[in-house]
Amino acid sequence: MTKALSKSVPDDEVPGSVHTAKPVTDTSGHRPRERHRITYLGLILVGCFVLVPFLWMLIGSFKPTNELLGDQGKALLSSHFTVQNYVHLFKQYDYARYFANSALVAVVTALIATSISAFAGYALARFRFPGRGFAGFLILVTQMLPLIAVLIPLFIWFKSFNLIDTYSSLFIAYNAFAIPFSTWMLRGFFSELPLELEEAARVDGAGEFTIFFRIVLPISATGLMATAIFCFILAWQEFLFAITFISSGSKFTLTVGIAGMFGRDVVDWGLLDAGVVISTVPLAILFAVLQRFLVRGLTAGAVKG
Amino acid sequence: MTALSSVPRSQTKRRSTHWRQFRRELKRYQLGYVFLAPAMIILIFVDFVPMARGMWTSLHSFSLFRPRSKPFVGLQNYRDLLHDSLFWRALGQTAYYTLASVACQFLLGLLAAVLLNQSVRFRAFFRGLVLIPWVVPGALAGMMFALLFTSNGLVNTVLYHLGLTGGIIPENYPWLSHGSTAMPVLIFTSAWKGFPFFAVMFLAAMQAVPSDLYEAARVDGASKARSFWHVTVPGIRATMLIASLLGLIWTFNSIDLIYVMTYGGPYYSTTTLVMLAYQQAFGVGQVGYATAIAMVILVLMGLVTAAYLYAYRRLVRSI
Repeated sequence: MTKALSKSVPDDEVPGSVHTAKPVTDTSGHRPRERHRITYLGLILVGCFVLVPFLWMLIGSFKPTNELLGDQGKALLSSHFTVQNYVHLFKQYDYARYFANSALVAVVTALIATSISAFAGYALARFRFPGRGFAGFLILVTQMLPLIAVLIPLFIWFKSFNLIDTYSSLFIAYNAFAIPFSTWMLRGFFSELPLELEEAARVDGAGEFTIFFRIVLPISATGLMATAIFCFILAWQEFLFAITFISSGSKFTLTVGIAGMFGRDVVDWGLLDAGVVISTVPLAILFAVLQRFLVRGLTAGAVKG
Repeated sequence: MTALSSVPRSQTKRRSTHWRQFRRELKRYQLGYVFLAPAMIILIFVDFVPMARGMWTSLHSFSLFRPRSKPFVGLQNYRDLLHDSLFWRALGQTAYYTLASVACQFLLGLLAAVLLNQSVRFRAFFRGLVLIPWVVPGALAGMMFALLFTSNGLVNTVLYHLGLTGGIIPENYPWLSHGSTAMPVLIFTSAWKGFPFFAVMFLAAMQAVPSDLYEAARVDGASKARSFWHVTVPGIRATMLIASLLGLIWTFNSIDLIYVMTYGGPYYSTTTLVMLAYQQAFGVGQVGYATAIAMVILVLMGLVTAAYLYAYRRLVRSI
């Protein structure tokens, strides 16, 4: 029986096709339709678990401050819709500055770490040399290093070089976690490339650098992109180094700036709600859209490790 | 004989290709080191040297406020640790926080992965949705949940509308200001933040399980639950091990949730080892003592990792 023919006939009418036979009885006791309904219900519950915190912040951020106090704060919806909290956020705090600082630090970290790790990842994936296994192991272990163990010595070291309270301190320190991670991730990408392309170029007399720059890098654009996005997120999320090394408000990153708002003696709930909403929601949506890259990164380091 | 006359020539040819290959190999050897060098040099400066310096510092009595005098005290800092009840308390709380968080992350992640592994519509949408907590910075997630658990945050609001306040849970109960509830709230937050990683890892592993195994299980009359237990779980066991190792390490080392939500309080009831080291270094300025704690953390992490890698090796060999 040809493929075309079997396709035109509904599966259960194809004689002798054991593997396509539909189960007569579903032992789980549910009809397939009903099972799907349970799946959807479960997915929606998980979705609610994820989203409800954001929704509560969103609701709070549009309430007038006085309505957030006392039992009034327990009203699920307010009658007075206001954008005052957002206005205050940008007026009282250098909020746009925090955002720009975070973006700067994250972009620079992603660029440095991805470009340096591209070389290291390629070396680990393709070159055979004594000590390769050990180098790979060392980089993998560094990924699991407790950052607090390097934080304190780095702080003392930066202090003696007058690097405290500079962006450079973060540019340097973030390599401590970004390089091991992205090297390992790119190693995975490079070792999955078909060898034939490189071999063909080698036969044609191309040098290793030419091969790397002209062939390997262009065809791994997706991998480089994914790694850079991942580094960006790691740096964007970073809190411990940023709050330790940066002391002046004009250089605060987003996480440090928002956490600082929380510590003030007068707690303005509406302002905090607005701050959380505007610093999480847009990027959360952006990254959820970029999930193709993220999933790759999340699983690359671990599954293939 | 024509073949005989051609032998020497082909041999020289072969030797020259060998030689060329050898030189190429040598060049690739060297290039391996050249390519690896930048990353290694940076890692030496930001990871290995600081760690070594930390070890050295932990042998000194070194206060941030008296940076000029740092006498060598040998293992005194470590001896002090053994007699510090706060250290032992922090150790216990670290174990509680880490194990409970990772257990919740694991179970939630497994549930989400099972749901996402069904052939439903909008699967990419739901997968993106599940990823969201992972991309929210920990410090901001911490603030968000701190706001949910304030005296008139969402949790108390829901309890209020359900008429549940006033009984076991007092009205306007500030969850994070009480030692007994602060840690569970932190664990809940950590579960929210960390479960997407497990979900994505498990989902990827589940999709790699060959579908004929499920087919075979079904032909044998296995129920959904049985085929999950006997096909899915063995298929993703290695991933379970690695994911939980990474989860343990990250949760153990994470400080942002605790820093933002409780700063180790109230009354040290949420102080983990990492938090204690941070407080000692940047709160009290006792850098020598703090690095000693950091070294203990390093050793503990090393032991956990070694145990896991051992288990992983055995598991991989048994498959």
